Amino acid sequence: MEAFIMLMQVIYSSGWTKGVINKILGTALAIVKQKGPVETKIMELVERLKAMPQGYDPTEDELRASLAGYHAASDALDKL
Amino acid sequence: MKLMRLWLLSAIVVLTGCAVTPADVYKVADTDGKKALATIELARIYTEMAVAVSSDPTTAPEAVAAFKAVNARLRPTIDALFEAYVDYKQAYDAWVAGDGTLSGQVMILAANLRGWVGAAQSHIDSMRSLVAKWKGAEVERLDRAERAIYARLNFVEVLVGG
Repeated sequence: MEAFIMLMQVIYSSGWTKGVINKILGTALAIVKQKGPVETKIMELVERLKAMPQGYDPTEDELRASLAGYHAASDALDKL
Repeated sequence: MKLMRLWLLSAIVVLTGCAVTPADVYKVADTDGKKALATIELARIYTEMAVAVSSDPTTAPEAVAAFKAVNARLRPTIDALFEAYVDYKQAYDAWVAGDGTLSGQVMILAANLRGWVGAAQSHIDSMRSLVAKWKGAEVERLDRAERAIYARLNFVEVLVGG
């Protein structure tokens, strides 16, 4: 946070207007809010499925790996 | 300056148009196998998010209990979905290899698999709704952080005489 404030100080002193900086900051925060971890993971899943050939059925091992990932998350939730 | 405004406007338009949902995943899953994989992965994604939200000390205990309750229904469904896929895939591969007597069985097993995918989707939707509900607290924290940053910026502006 301090580094961010220092950067902002440098940018301000370089003559940038407050309006421009506020717009950039607002856009950056909008990205953080909109592209959360869920959206990012879903995008990755979409890309993974797109990369598979048309008509392809994943192997049992591929599904087993996904199942292991889900079980790990499920176990972690149960332990909370 | 005009270019900068145009760039910012374009970025905002692109970002608002890029919200992704589970429906986008199923749009690109053109086989029952891909749909099964997508369903297990979505279960993992939302359960991981539930863990992340639940691990936050500011999250209410009833949220954690709600996540666990949904997952208690989701887990056996996902396990059954996996078993259904194994059965379907074995029969399908044998049918493709030339065993014509399996065509009827493949259809039944495919219908069974789709049934489990549908059942899992309803539990995943429940988990997704809960994540959205309790992530609201996270968004509120981001809003507070945003206001704090703007307050600091105003302070800096006074310091540098902007």
